[in-house]
Amino acid sequence: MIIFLSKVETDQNKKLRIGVYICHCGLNIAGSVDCVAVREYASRLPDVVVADDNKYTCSDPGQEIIKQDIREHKLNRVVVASCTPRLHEPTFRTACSEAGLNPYLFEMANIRDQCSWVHLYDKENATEKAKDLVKMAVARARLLKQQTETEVPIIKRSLVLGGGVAGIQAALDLADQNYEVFLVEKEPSIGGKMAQIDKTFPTMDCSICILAPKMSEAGRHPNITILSNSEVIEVSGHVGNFSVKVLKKARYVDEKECTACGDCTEVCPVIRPNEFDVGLATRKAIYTPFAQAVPSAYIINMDDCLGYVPIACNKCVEKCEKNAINFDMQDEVLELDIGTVIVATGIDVYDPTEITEYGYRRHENVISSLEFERLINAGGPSGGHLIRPSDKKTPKTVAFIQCVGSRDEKRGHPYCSNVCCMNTIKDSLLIKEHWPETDIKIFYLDIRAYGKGFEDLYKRSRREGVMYIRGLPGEIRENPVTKNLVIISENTNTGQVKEYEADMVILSVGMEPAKDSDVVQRLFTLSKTSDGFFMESHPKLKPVDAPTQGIFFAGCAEGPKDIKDSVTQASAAAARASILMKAGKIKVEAITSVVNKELCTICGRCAKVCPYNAIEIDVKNKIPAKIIEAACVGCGTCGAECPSNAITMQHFTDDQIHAQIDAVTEENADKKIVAFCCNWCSYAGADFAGVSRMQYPPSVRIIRTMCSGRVSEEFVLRAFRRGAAAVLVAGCHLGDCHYIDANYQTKKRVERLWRKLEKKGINTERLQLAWISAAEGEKFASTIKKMQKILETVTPDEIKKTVEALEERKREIA
Amino acid sequence: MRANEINYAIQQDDSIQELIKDAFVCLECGKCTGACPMVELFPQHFNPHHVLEKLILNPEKILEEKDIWFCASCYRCNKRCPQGIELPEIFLKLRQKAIKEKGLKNLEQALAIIDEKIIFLQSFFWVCFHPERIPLEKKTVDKLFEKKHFKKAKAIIPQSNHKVAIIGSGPSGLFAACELIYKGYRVTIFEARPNAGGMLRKCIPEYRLPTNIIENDIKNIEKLGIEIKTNIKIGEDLKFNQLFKNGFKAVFIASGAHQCIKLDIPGEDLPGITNTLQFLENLKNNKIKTLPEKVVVIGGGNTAMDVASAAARCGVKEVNILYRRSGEEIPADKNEIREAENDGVRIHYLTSPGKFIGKDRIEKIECYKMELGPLDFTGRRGPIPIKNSEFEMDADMAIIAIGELPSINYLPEEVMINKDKTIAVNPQTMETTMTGVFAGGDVVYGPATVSEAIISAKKAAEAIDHIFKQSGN
Repeated sequence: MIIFLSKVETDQNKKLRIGVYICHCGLNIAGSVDCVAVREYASRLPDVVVADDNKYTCSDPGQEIIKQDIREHKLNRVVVASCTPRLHEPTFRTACSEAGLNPYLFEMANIRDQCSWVHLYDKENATEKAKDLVKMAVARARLLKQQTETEVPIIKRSLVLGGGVAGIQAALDLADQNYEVFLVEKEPSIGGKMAQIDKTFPTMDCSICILAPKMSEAGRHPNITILSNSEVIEVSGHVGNFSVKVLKKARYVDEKECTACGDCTEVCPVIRPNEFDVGLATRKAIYTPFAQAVPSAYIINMDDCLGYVPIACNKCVEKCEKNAINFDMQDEVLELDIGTVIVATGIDVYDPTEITEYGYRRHENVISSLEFERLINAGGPSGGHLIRPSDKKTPKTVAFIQCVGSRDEKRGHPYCSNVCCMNTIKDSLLIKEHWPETDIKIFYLDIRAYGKGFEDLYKRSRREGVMYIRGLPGEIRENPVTKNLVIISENTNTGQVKEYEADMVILSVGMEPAKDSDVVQRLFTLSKTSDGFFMESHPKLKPVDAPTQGIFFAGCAEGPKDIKDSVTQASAAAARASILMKAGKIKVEAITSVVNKELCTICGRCAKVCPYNAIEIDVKNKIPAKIIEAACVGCGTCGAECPSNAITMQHFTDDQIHAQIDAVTEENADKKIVAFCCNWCSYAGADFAGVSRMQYPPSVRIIRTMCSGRVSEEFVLRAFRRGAAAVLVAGCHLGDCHYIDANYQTKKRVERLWRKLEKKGINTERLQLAWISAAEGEKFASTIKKMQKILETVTPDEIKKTVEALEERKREIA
Repeated sequence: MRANEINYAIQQDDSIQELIKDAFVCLECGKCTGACPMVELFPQHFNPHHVLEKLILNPEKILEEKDIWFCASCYRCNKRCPQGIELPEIFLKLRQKAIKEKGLKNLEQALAIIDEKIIFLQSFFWVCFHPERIPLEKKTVDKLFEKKHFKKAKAIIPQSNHKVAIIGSGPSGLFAACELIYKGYRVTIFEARPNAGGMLRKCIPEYRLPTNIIENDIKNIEKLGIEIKTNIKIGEDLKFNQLFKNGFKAVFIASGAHQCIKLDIPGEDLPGITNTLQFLENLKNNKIKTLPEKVVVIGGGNTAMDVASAAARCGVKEVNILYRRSGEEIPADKNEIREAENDGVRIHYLTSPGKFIGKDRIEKIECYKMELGPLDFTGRRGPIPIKNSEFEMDADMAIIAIGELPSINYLPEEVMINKDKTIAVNPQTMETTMTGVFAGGDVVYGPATVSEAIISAKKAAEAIDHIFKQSGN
């Protein structure tokens, strides 16, 4: 065996004593990695005094063994090779501190998500890779230093983004625990989609009847401030101490003065389609979206209003006895200090126009399910009378078509929207209740009635005589005279294709992420899964936590769900937020930068690249750089940029990363890809590939950094100098960086490196830059597959030349 | 140009496993079946997703079944399939494999069944089954049809005195005529052009449908006793309302979509700018004397691909296609795009012409790059020109291929016309808003495929029969 490490000076000045624990994870790891061989390999690594393998290291007995060994063998470093640190690093860190070892002296090797799961059928190479990963972890562990975590206070104030039922519930739960809550809603009233729906399933409760009391409770709660007609425009800070700017758009009606008498609306001459009734009814320029609106004040849409110049109209102002209307009202920007955030931005409804064969917007009597909700709602445009748009007559035959824009890989969305089946069943019963003679046909693919009371409702619908036809229509055609519709569909249970005539067709459309969720994603640096909904911290165990600490999800922002699930999740999110705020303080990871003033050449580059303005430097007066620790979040971009190695990024030091690179490249470097992945997106993306068991070549060795901005030129060049065949730098998508815009520095740096490599005659394809989000496991796998092809073209001679060219360059610089 | 000169065949893929992989993702929603014209014609014999199921259950046996020979490559299934399964491609690959390994037996069986419904079987086979893609040589195909068991046309003596007028002798008109004469009615077809056959005759390139095949089919149809009056343009040579006065009890409008849509941009009248139908017709009749060097085709439909391929095949050095949306939205079928690209055609996506430039003749086209905006009324993302993205493209011929509209100005006001200039019909009977007047084919659907034309003709014929039977003989 090759001894790969130079002598290490430790801060403890003690002899290193490392314990290595290889986890089988049942058969998850042991199924494709020879754990015993890895343990034996580990036991022979320098400074390793204990090496053990264990069926489940994360179990209590597993942790107990580590604790015992720390005490008995006086271990001063611990390495666990198991799953991803994103899952169990906190577990093992706690175990270490319980045994008296500083948690920062713990290191993890990810041999499950990034090894055994992605090389399921290649035990030999998976085992070799696992050995390498352990070697890298030991190399890094040797250089780890103890750190002290600092505590930050948590502001006991919460921001709830989105005033649908989930947002309202979360706000109420927090407010009842005496936390101050700001409920921000972009529409003029809270209520969300639930306010538009007629009845709810499976109980057939009137939707607005059960929602309105909650809305008014939120409206009058002393701890809740509703900011309607408002949007978040800027966010800074971190868990416990967010600083949020909210744009409160002018309402032109004083919320406190308005009594919602409606006199103004009567005289307003402007008529516009009513958004709340999905355009099926009209409103005036001064209006309230619906009767139960909270805040219960009117609003003027200035784009519609004629009265900006009082001579032109001014009718409403004249009519308002309370003088509540004020055309001079201005947009306001509120600056709020917030401790925790609950994102409840909800959904939008899929627009089925692109499913051209169903003729939505071409055939008058083809409507969407949300339009149907408004049509059958007593507060809706028809006063609850079921009519069809073309002739306002009650249809005698109605057809529902399921999965419109859902479960479709090409048009609409590939996922199941969860609620449409039950919604249609409910709608069919509503029709049957009032117009029992109506002939109802439901064209479906699968009926998913999975929840409590759902199956009962489904069976009731069948008992009432609703006909269920398994098959989605291939075409809907309109009779130009009667405006009736002809549906051509196969009944896949019989294989027969038939034409069915219907007076009205209701397209059961799915849900899609709210249109402005992209903005929210950017503002709060969140991630999205491939379906476009926000990604939770862990799909099973932290389902309402965002990966960014202090932010939680409620309702459909995280995925399609019904009202009950939304409310449940909202209460969960409120509880999670409350846990943080109750504690009043939180420990933050001791990952910040420090400057060695003696080495600082006062060039100012670090301050330029710091996304958080956390570096003070005065180039003119020759005052060296200083890190403002409270503002530093530890992306490490400054460290990568510093030309004189004056900045040390704690816990991700140059030495530690160099040791990892050296460990990778010690043997068979020409067959390996060294990958630098950022913690938040691409490392998580690689984990996701593992969870999804996407197979890719075993040649890649991942080195984790907090941000891709941490990857300095030297890291890449060192890998090449040591003979690596290829290097990958992977980060979050531009615009999605968890450190505002640090990954733009990554881009610049890699582009600079490409130019340098080109000058030296090195194939620039060997250095790849990829933007891989946490949800893009597929992209990670395909990137590695692509790089494997490049790797295979790299000849030993080419590597030799590269090494020579770069060594020469190093000498030149020296 | 002869069919056997062309290697149109897609690459042979021996791995049936790949096809089975596709088949496994089928959710059996039935959209393919509900949209398939061939299922409507042959419900007892064909169901696309059942073929996928059979493929999974017994990949060897499916090659011996006639099921794989019903798909007419209209791609309506693929456009609707939520899983994006490319059924026509699967059928094509199965056909290739079947021919190679099992011979022509199952094809013959299928053709015998199709023959019972479709009298112009040969033309139909050439246009819809794309023997050049398999590839089957023309002589193999000819031999296939020499076999005796295919229906021989025999004169039919009409039992009824009811007379039906059919306007247009394309696939829809011809099919309706045959259906009606079998039902015992007297049928007269009015054709404006000197030859019967409609689009089949006028514009389908020779390598896709040899002229003698369509001529032969029309001869057979005439043998049935159907009268085809050529060179009679309804509205000019004979007024529409005159038909009823002349004793026709019902009219079936099948005059197709022959009016090419214009771009409506400057310079469109310059010599050298033509449209698809004109170009294909000239090409078919050998009227193109001097071959252009650089042809630009504007549009992204199947016709655009066809025209571009045809231009490349007759020796044009450089053929470019301009399409204003991206590859995601392009309406042309995958097969057509691939074939065009194989012929050396370059497709410029997100590119739109701004004006045609030239002195006496087209020399250049000023183009814009486009980006995609929000969804428009067609449900696709609308293209928006990018500012200052103009560039020039050399061209000595431009072919505008952005669609065709029906020419229906000869119709009386009683016949309701849709916004898109197609005729509004009852989808079940194909009856227009004027009593006794029916319509089918491209006048109803806009440019569509032969199989869709046939279906509408079949429905109309059944409805006409029903009306006549109700009114008594």
